[in-house]
Amino acid sequence: MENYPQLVSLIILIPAIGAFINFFWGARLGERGAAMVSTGASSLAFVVALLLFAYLGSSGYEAVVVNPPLLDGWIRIPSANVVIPWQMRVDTLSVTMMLVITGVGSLIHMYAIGYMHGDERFPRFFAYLNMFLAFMLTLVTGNNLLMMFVGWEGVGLCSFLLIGFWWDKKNGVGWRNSNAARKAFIVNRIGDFGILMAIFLVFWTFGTLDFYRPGELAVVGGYGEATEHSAEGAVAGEHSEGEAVVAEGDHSETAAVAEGESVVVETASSQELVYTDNEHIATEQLGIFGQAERFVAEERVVDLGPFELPIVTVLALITAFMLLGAAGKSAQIPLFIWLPDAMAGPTPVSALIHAATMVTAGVYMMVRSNVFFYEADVTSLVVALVGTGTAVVAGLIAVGQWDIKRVLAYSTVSQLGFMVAAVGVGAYGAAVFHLVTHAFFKALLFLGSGSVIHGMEHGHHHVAHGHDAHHDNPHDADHGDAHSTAVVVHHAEEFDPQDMRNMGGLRSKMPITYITYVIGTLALAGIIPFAGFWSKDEILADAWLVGVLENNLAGFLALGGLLLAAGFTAFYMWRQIIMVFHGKPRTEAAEHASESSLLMTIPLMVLGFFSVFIGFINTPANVLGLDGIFGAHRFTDWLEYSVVHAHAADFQPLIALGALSLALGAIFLASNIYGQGKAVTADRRDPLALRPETAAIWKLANARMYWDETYYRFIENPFNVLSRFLANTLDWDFWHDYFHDRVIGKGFNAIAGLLSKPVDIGIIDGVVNGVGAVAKWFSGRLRTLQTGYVRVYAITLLLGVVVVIIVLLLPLINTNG
Amino acid sequence: MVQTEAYITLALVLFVLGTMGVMLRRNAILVFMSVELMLNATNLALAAFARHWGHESGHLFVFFIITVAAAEVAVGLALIVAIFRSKNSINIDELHQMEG
Amino acid sequence: MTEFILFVVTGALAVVAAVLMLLSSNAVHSALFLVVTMVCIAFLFLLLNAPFLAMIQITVYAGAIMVLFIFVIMLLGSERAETKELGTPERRFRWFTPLALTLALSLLFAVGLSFVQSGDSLNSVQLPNPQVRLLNAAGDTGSVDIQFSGGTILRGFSYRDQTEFFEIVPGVWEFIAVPASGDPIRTEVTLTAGDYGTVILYANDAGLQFGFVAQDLDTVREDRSARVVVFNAYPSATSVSLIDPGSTFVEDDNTLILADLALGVASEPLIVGEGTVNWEFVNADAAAQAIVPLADYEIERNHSDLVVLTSERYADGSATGIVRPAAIQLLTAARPSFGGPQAIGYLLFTDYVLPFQLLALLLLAAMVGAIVLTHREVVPIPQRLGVRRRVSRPLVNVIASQVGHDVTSSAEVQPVPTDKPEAVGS
Repeated sequence: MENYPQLVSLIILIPAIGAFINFFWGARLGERGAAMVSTGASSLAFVVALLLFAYLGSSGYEAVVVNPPLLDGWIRIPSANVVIPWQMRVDTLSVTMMLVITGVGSLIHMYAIGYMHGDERFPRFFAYLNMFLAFMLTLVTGNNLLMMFVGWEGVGLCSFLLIGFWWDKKNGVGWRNSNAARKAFIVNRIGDFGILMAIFLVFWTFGTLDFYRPGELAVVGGYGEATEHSAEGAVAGEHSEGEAVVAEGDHSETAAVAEGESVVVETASSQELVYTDNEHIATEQLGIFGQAERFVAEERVVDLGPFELPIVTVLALITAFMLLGAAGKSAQIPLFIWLPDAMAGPTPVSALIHAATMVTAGVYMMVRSNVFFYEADVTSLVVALVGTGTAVVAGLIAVGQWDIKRVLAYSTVSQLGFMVAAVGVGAYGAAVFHLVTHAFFKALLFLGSGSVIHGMEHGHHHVAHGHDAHHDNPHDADHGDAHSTAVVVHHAEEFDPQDMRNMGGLRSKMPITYITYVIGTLALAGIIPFAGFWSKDEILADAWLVGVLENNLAGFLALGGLLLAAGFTAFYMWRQIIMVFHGKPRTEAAEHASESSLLMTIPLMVLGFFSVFIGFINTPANVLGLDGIFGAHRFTDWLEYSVVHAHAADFQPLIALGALSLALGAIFLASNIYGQGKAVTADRRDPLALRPETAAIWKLANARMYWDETYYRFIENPFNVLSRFLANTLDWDFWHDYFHDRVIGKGFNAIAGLLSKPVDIGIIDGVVNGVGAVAKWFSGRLRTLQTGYVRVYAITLLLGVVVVIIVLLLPLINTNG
Repeated sequence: MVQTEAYITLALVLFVLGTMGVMLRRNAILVFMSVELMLNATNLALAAFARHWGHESGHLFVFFIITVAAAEVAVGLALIVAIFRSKNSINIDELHQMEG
Repeated sequence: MTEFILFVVTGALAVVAAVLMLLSSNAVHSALFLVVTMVCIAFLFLLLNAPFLAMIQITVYAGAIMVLFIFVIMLLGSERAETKELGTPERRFRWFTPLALTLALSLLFAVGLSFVQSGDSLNSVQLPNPQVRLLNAAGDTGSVDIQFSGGTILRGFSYRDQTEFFEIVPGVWEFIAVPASGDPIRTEVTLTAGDYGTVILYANDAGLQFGFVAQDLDTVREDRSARVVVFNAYPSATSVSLIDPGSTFVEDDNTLILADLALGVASEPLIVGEGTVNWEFVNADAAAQAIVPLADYEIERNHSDLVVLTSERYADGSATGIVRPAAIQLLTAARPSFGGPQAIGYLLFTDYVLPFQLLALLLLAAMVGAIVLTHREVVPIPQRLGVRRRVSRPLVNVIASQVGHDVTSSAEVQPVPTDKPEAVGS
């Protein structure tokens, strides 16, 4: 049992190997083999996660830092004092994430086998899925920010690959798919800038990127107020792998053990000195959170080059950048625009990545950095506002959407807003709880919608091909269309199997889908006793408590906004139920829709089961006796071992009741408006659009609040104009044509011409030839000296002699001798 | 004893006369004879100086000059003969084929 | 005076003949005038004490070279003079005569003027530097060191040692003899240019003495004679005489050669005929008592000998040896007469042998060259049987035919002359 943490390497490795096998030999393995490999890998990873969960449960929930073999010293630059090891962290938070990812992931794998059946690139899809799993697991198991960033980028890549999986569809659909993939990647990139800046700042400030070093306690002593649990007296501590297990038990209280004392605890095996805090470790040896706490305590000033900032300001900056990163990855305002378009990908992708796992990476990051956010009040306020705003805006937009997956996409954005708002008000445990529950019912809803779409397509083909029920490739037509109605290949008329206006009355055609879908809807809407009620209520209670107890404006704002968003959620989800399942079929395709295969419905059922019961892991105390199922706030307690500032809120009956009544009221309203066959008007318009008081709002919602258009107008278009100008005019016309051709080309030619003709031929040749000409002239003149006459020679000789003699004898002549 | 200067003067006069003969005569043989006159003048000067310094090396040099003059006359006259055979004239003004 | 007149006359004659040579229009006349000039110069050589040179001049120059000239003149037939020879008919050379005259006169003027104004260095005949030699005739003294002009030039100069003639600058010189024991003695010698002398170190009763004998190494004018100078360094007699005892069989057949030569005195130079003589030194006082014979004295002609009579210690086996008289003979050949063939021969075969040999080679080359230059190519004459006759042609024509154009005419290229049959050996 002690060695189970070592298995955490496997949890990354197994999906990676699965991806590898599917990449290279997937075609040879065929559908069956590829599916088995990838689903097997995913399931094995889930098994490992279970083992790790068991380990933690038996070892007192102490975190373990694991150094995988062969990756010792990932980045090690001794001269620059940079040490970033490839270390993994097995603690309650990461195991939670692992369980969710691998569990939901395995179910979705199974679903996808049926969904993607017949696709020509079947193995590649599963390779991508496994690769995604590997990266996501790297993200959650990393013990330092850089490993998390590796996973961050990897899941962004996989998201790109999977959204654009059907990039080669005809009639422009493929283009739209790849545009959506690119949009997701690029918007994510903007967020990545944020997280990178955060990482830089963290490294600059703290000198390391590790969350907690081996030997460091994440949770020290008491946790602060609002804890409700009785002390057990034992000591919990963290230690790295290899040291003796010290104690079991839940958590400690400050009352039991004073700070700074170490207690020798006797165990069966050994006596070990156990530290209850990190006082014995020097500040530089701590991880970023430990250092942050100490810096804040001593009010250190951080030197940022030309200026200095107090640590609190630096933390505010760090968290602000982290918010930017989360806004990109977790689709918050202003970077949520990619998520609706990402519905162009296959439904399992939407379910896994854009509902359950990848989009929660931002929330995970913020929860992991709860120490930072706890100290940064301003940023937390901004975070709460961003989350709340996102929740409200996305909720509103979802009301006006026709595409079944669009509604779910905006719903995801809205629920992410809930989680981010929870982080903003300091309810870290509530955020993770909502993350977990949301993973289940959102995945369920997506898979259900996929089943619905599948059924609709079957019905459509049934109709189109004269009622033969053969299944040709159902996916070469319309799946993955991100924008408005798609074009059907087989028929002249357009038919969008995802448009809810084409559905209706599927309750009787697809019963299992209907029942699980309703379960998911009720969970999402927050109806007791489904999962969503508990997690939403936790968030609302925390918001209320923060607002009331700490007089924090963020709490009140969050509470109001989230209540409104919860109302929206219930409204648009029930609208969807009515439009899709209730009433009569509005098209022939819906008439002939049929239930999906077992491979697709079993995951629905499993997820439906979880959607019902998963909420009980964190029931507050004293609620209808339901806390007796598992115990009160078990999840938060469990989480507290990793997330320092996670503390459960007391049950606020008023808030809970208010939220519940709001949700029920919204459902009632929706059934009033859309029920009894009034779901869609005769000319395919929404009833709300007809009512004058809601028409404007509904139109706004249907137009998705013009977010994309605004971005296009104010950012994309100017950028395109500028880049066109730079490329065509500046670079091509001016630089290439004018400058290069005229200035450089002609100039060079002119210089060369100058050098060649006047200089080289004229001057240099002139000089050289001139020398020759001069020599020739000179010798011509000299030549005439040789007259050939002896007498001339003789007289010349004599002349010379006389001259010389006179010169020599001149001194003698002049003397008076 | 007659002064050495007198001898030198005489030699000088003869030398100059020989020079003028070289320059002014057109007959090749006469030019040659003028050259011989110049050589004789130098011989005279040399002998005078030999007596002046009391050393016979001057005489030796005269001896050498006479020898060389003999050789030169032999060759030169042979040349003149050869030229005459071809041109039938020994007017040196007609010998200017080596002009530039 | 006579010499001067002779010089003037001969010189004038030479100059006149030279001028006439230049002005004559007949080449043969010119040659003959040149011969006259050369003969005059030969005479002048004689006046300059250069008999050998005069002889050579006549023989070679006037006799061979001018004859060659006459031969060639005759051969070329140029005794038929061209009119206006001494002009320059060509227009291009009109500037010639003035320039030539100018140059010649300026040369004459310049050299003459410098000559005249250059000083009196040529006024007198220079005599060579004096030369002296040393002789140790002190028979009993042992070796001495000779110091001269501040330095020791001889160490261990013992009895009968003599040096060669060494040349010193004219002036007054001091010789110091430093014996092994005793005081150094010194003497002063005055030397002027042209002197020859022997410094003799001898001993008399007073000790070491220096004696100087001036010598005359000029050529002995008398035929087959030699010059003998006797120096008396014999301390045991006041004066000595040199006699020729004559025949041993006849009594009193003495011929007195030199009488009464005192100690330390040199005699006048005796001119003695060559041959072998047996003389004897006798004491001038006491009845011609013989001192020492000078037996088998070979007198060679043109010698200038010095005989020194001295006494020496002779080791005969006894402890100290005996003192006996001795005659030291310094036989020196007189210098050959200036300008004579002997003198020239000496120089030629010692200092100037290399140029002499080179000149021989030069003469050989000249001979060969002359032959080659005048050789006529013999062209084979075709046989009567139709073979081409060999015709002799001048070399120039042969060259012309080979080269392809006439190499003799000026400027134009003429066609190759065909074979002209000429008489063989024209």
